[in-house]
Amino acid sequence: MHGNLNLAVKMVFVLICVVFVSVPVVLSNNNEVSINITAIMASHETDSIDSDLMPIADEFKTLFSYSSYKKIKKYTVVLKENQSDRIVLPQEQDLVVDYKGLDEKDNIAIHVSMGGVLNTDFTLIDGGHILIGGPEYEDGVLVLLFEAKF
Amino acid sequence: MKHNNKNLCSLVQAYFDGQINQDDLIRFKAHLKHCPNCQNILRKLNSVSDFVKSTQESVPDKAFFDTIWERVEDKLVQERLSVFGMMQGWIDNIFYYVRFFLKPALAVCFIFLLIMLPHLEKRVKDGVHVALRVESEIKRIESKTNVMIVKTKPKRWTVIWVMPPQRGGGKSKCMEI
Repeated sequence: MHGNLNLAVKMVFVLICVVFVSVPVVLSNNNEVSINITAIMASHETDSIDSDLMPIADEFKTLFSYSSYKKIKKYTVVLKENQSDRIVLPQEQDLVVDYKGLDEKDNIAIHVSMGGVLNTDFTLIDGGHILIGGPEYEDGVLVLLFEAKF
Repeated sequence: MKHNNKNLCSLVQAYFDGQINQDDLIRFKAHLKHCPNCQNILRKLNSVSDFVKSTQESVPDKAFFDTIWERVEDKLVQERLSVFGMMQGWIDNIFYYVRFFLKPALAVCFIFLLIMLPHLEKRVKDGVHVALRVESEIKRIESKTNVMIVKTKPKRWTVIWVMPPQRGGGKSKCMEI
């Protein structure tokens, strides 16, 4: 009788361990990524940088010779593996974002198509950034900041 | 000077204070043996005197001040020894209680490790990538215009810069990286 009770306690303990281990794995295998795309207008209009862009202001100053960086719009696309989403950029250009899944280094693989002008495949780490810029917009150029969270 | 019993009773205070002449002292002592009243008064005076003496603060003598630092040091050493003793007691207690808590504590640690393992693995992987600062890698790029790829030094960000389109359009160029 006592032995059976001990066995039952051990079984419950093992079951609890299995549940605790499997729940985070199931949750983490949701395969959903959130990709933030911030449309920024870089120009020589003023000498100001939007407060939202201050964390990356130093990086911009190193990269570009523009004096003004203005956040125009922020898009967020949440995608599952092999899903894609289309957004319309401020200069009325289509941008298609396609999440292809995780690569061998567990980085997310993304395909971006920008109105036939650019097609590119790249990978991002969790929290990683990539910039695509160059298209003319108003009195400056459009810079797209891609950031992935998964 | 002749004293009757009543007069001799009046000498009790002078006797107690030690302010009595030799003749009166002899007579008063002889009287005291047979006078219960004087004996009673003297007893009360003595008890009051003892009480007053007991309430007086004792003034330390010079030797007390000469050896004060030695005694302070001795006291400090004793206190230090008592702290070590207390710590020793704690350590003994820990070893005593470990016998009871070791198994449950190990079980809790094991469960915690099992729960956290998937997250830790991911964190370590991310940490390695962040440490190397390879935030992004371009695998393939195709464009009708010229494209410039820049990697920044401090954070190794990647920038794809699309040049303005050439007049009359251009052929799409593709590059695998």
